Amino acid sequence: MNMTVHLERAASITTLALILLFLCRCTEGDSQHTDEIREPEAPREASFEDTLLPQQEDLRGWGPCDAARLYAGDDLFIYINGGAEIYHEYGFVSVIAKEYADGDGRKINLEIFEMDDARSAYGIYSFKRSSDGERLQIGSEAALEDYYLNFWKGHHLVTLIGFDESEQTVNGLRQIAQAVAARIPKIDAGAQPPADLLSHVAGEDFMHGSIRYIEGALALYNSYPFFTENVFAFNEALCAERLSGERVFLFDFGTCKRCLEEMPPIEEKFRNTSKYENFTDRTNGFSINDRDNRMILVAPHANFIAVVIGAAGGDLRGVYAALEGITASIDRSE
Amino acid sequence: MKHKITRRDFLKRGADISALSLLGGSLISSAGCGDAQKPAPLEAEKIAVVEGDDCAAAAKRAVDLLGGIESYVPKGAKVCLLPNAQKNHPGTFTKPEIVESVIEMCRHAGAKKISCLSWLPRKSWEALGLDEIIESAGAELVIVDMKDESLFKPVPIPRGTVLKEARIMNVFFDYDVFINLPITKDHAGNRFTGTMKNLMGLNSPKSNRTFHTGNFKNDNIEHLDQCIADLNTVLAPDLCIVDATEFIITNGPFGPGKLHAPRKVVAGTDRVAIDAYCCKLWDLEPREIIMIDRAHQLGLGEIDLTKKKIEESVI
Repeated sequence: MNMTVHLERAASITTLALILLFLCRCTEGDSQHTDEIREPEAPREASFEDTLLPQQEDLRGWGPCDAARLYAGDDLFIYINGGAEIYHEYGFVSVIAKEYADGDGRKINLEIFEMDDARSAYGIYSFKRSSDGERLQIGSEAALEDYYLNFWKGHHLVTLIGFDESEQTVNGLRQIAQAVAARIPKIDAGAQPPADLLSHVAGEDFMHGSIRYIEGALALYNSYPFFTENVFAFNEALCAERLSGERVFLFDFGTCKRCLEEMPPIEEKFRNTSKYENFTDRTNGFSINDRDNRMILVAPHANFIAVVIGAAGGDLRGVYAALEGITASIDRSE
Repeated sequence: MKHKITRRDFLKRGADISALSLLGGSLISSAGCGDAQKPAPLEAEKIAVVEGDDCAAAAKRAVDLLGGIESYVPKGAKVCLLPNAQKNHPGTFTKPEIVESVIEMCRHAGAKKISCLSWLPRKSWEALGLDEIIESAGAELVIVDMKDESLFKPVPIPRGTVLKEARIMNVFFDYDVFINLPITKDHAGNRFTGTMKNLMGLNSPKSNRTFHTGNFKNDNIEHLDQCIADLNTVLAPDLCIVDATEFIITNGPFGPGKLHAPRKVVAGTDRVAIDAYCCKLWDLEPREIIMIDRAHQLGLGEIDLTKKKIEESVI
């Protein structure tokens, strides 16, 4: 057998192997995937999947039920079918979803969201967690709710969903979360969570789990439906609830000048919106009442506009105490 | 299989459906195949609300309070059901027990054919165990390929403010009676979902995608709501039975989120009023849900619940 024959035969075997490999992958795809599934198309995505999903040795008593599915960009609408906007507003890149089960048939869904940067990851985390969750030492910050767990680390948000509140499921949530967190790199380039902004609501007066970082109009509307138009044309914002019941919104406009420029149209919009009444000019800013007769106090301070919504049945003193707390914090930071 | 609708087919189908609408079916208004704005005064249509742990029995009682399933499903009718089977996360999907109960009621009324329609992949239904439940209850699960636009019929929306054309799955027009079976829950896009938003489940995903605007730092929160209100001007369920037993009130529509459990099933024909009622189950103000307000302005129902008769029962 000469060299040419060897090469031809090797080429034929290689071609055959490639065809078989291709057919195997197609068959695997047919059996495990449906229309909703998107395979990683770029090496970056494949690498992302390989490195972040927990490996079998990390999963004591839990095993994967299906192949991982990856959705990137607009394909999130295929996966979430309607609720994708809020993720996009925060800067969604892709999500990997995978299901796990234990020997007794309990199930856990794992979702690893890749966001634009750490600021986006923290933002969507703060949107999804509730103020009732138990804080855990997983990733940069984690919250365990009745049947689910969210944490963020680097530029990732990780959500795990159990289907019951049993001890085994909750332990599984923690275990899988820790395994994923260990695989996410600690150091992340790019924008970080807005520590300066968050420092203004870091005190003991605030419910930690209520702090929400807001990047766009949709998150704001879900936090409190001030207006359907983007009246607060802010750079970034946050909201948080005080233990005494007042809700504080802090809108960052970047400069004091811009902040003062934004006040008149905001005031005009409040005045001309029928669901608000009892407009009153205040020394610095104005107040108005909402439909539930809660006072809303709007006041510019430095680069910010602070909005305080009174507690149900609360009084003017509580609203002003909340405002003074915020403005004092801003003054200290300057 | 590809469907090509000719003018002759269209006229014939229109005539067929018009004839069927006389039996009680009421599917599409603008296409001349029914009337989305029912002639009966909306104030006269009551809402039935039944509270209890047995959601199947609650659904049955709610329909009985409205006069019984026979008032909506004539003998020999072909009935299509639209449950929400979005995801298996707790509080995000219509309880299978309610779907099963409605199928059982329709069978009892003598329905000739009962189908659940969806463009969601079968896997979504399997994850809930709903595929088996539907089939063992004597109905069929009809999955329309979401990628094949030829399986969706263009339907003009003459009264649409922003949505001028819907694309409704062709197979929908083969049925006489349409029963809408949503779960009410939170929705991050517009804060609420119920009877009206569920109708997006009949519209093609490609068309639905236009409801969600491309600018995600978006300045136009009203767009999605207006599209839904517009869609509802050409689709009129004959009956809505809403799962308000346990649902998410944060992180909707997909979850996971905080669960709220009023243990109620809400039924009726006035979508606006039903959605307004469901809003109040978790302290939302109906007039602040743009979709409900716009639908009311379009004359699709009553937003003021003091003008509705609400019949409540506990089992």
